[in-house]
Amino acid sequence: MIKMSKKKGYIVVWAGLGILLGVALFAPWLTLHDPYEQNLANRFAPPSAEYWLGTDELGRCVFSRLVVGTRMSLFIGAAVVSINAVVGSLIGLLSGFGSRWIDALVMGLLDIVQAFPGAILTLAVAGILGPGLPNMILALTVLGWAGHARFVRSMVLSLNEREFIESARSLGYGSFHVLFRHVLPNCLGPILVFSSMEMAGAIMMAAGLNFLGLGVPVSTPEWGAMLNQGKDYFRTAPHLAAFPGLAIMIAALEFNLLGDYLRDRIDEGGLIDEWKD
Amino acid sequence: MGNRKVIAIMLLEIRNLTVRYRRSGDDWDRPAVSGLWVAVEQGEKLAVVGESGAGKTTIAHAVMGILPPMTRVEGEIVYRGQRIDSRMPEGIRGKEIVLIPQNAYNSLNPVLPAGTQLEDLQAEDGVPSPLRRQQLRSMLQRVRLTDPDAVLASFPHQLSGGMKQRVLLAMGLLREPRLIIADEPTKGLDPVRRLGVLELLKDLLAQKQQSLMLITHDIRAAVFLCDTVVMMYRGELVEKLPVSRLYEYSSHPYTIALLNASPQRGLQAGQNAGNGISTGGRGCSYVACCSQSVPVCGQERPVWREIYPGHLVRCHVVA
Amino acid sequence: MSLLELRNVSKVFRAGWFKKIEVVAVREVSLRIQPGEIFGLMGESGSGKSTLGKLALGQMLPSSGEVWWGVEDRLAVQGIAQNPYGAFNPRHRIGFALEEPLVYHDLVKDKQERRRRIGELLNLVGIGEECLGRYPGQLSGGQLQRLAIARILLLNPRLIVADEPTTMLDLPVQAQIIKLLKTVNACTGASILFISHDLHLVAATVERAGIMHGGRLVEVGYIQDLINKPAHPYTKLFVASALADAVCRPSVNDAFGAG
Repeated sequence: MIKMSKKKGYIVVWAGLGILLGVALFAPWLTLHDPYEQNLANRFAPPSAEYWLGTDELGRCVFSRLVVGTRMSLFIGAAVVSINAVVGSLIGLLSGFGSRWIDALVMGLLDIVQAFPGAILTLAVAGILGPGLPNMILALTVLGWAGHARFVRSMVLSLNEREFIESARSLGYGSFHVLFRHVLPNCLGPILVFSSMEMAGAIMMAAGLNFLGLGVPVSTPEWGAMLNQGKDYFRTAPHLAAFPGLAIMIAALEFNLLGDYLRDRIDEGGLIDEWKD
Repeated sequence: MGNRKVIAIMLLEIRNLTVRYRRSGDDWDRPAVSGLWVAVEQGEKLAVVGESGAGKTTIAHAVMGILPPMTRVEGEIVYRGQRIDSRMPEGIRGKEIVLIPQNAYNSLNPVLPAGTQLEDLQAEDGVPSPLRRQQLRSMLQRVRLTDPDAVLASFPHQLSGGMKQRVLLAMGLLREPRLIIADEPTKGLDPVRRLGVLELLKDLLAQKQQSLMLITHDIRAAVFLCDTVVMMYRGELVEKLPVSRLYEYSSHPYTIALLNASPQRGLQAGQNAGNGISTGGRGCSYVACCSQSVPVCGQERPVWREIYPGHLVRCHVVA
Repeated sequence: MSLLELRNVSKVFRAGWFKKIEVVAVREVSLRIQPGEIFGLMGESGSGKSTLGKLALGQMLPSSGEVWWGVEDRLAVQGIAQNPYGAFNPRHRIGFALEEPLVYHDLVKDKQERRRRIGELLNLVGIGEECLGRYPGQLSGGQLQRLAIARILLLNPRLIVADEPTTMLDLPVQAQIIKLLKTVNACTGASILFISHDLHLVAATVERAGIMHGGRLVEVGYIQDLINKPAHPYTKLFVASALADAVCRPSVNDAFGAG
């Protein structure tokens, strides 16, 4: 059945992650040519032995730019997700654990934040703040923490009912101790799953912002920016847009699958040895 | 009455049943039930007694064909001479063999009123519309629910646990089954409710001479309702005896230990450590905890011996 | 001076819109538990006995009436819950869970000494030291319940509220847990409030007991009196039901000739 084949297929997930991380880490050494070097005599070249994925409108090596772009995309994704996770989880923890007033306050805030159409607001913020990497990350996190907060809050609320939490209080442990030493460790697994799936979304949103010119400078080797440039020449030199697009898709897919796999493992209880009576 | 044995009709026969659950991947647990032979005659009331994890519920699920998808099953289940596949439900299950499951409160569909769920069954059986209400009312009265119309109109969450259990009982009895399998009907009940359920079951069974397979760890309930008891330990039967011999003439060390652990016999916790005889997987399954084990218990599996008509034990020590 | 005293305690739960729906879980209950005694509290589910247990633990405040404890320290009142599988944090090893109270409250500063104390208690409850490295998911219900008892013993409790501690366990394991509780009572002098719906179990364990029905404490007395000379109608019903099938033992010459 489905689960069966997925099991064997998970090698692909780990391999894929390894490749992405490896490329991002060793990018400078993996490039064929200097990603910024223009070769105006050789523009729009199709893939060849010398230029594996061809050259773009300024004669730059597409492959090398893609490789360096991996670093950028993964970094942006990781930064955005980390901030969202940390801020969102903290707020979710405090809200779920704190008094009903605090919870009501946070829930009200969450409702307001999540009522905004996310993509539009992100674009607006990016537009207002102007281009630049820090601004882009800010735009992506100003609303992004809300999903985490709501998710963690609901987990905390259900954990509150568990006997070992009540025991912890009976044993005299203070609220912070219970929250961070008992509740939080039980949330980490699901948070990890949630985050890896968010990573896919973050990468795509970042690419999207860059596609619209609202992020990094236009000539930066970044997948979305490359897509932006490449779209104008799609009829004559499709490879300019196709390869960055493919890269975005593969990275997003990889993180979605990773999240799936982690969730299956957690559901199975395979992360901790379970011995059923 | 003495002729009953001679013309006994075998209703349900479980032959050499072994069930293994799949843990993960290619990892199979040790068998939940292994090499099991159990039979229920028509009109007989059989109790399967053992602790949790002994495999009692597995038997019920195997007979009903509701084992989880990833299980390995060996052996066969024969109902009235016809072999029934332990995986696929047929016209027998739910109609002639009925299960009253444990945790009755979770077994009703929460989004439909009880009446609708019962009527669905009637529709399936082809009961004409005008007669349905009346049949349901009388059925609910049979299970001693005092306000049938109110119950029929209620959603499951509006009914108490005991009421839900009775609705499930009514659902089961609607088809006039020949065999009722009741899985831990008294679990966790206070004395008053427990007696209510036991008396109700006894009454219902007496009305139509139905057979019962009672699965329980409550020995006194088994004695109250049944004629015969089989004791299960870790997926295997260790003793089979008439209920009349249970308190005084039980022979298998496990049966005796279980009886001794009850409050009425002083809550004797027992040794639980055996006599240090190791098995290497070959001998009797109880040897690790048995206070009466001798060396042969670790080497050979004991065979069934009839120590009295109708009373069988599987133990080396009991001669 | 009683160890625990409830004076006309009531507990009302409110739910629904504008908190209109009221559920009276405990109704005007007065009760005294003496130091060193084992007291049984019986009743059907919904009778309020669990709520009373939580009030005795101080886990919730009464809606009216007062709860008095004859101890100086909150930590001297501890509880054992019904579900042993939920008693421990699934993410922590047992060893950590047992050291935590001692470390958090600074009760024993020396690591060696801590180990020694834990070892002592493990011995008392009959669990081997190898469990310290395991996770709760790897242990059985009986083992977990015994470890839960060991954990609270680290704090030297004067009152232990055991809410149906054996209901989820099998008969032989039940017997072990009851024996253990009695040993604890005998060795440390801690009082035990033993909540259960099993009359036979309570009879084998306690000296005095009370029966709850509909939130009220309908009768209190020595367990033998409650069984042999019940006064309140519900007590009579409760006791009679529990004993009903005990007298129903089939005789050796049963009618079906199976013998």
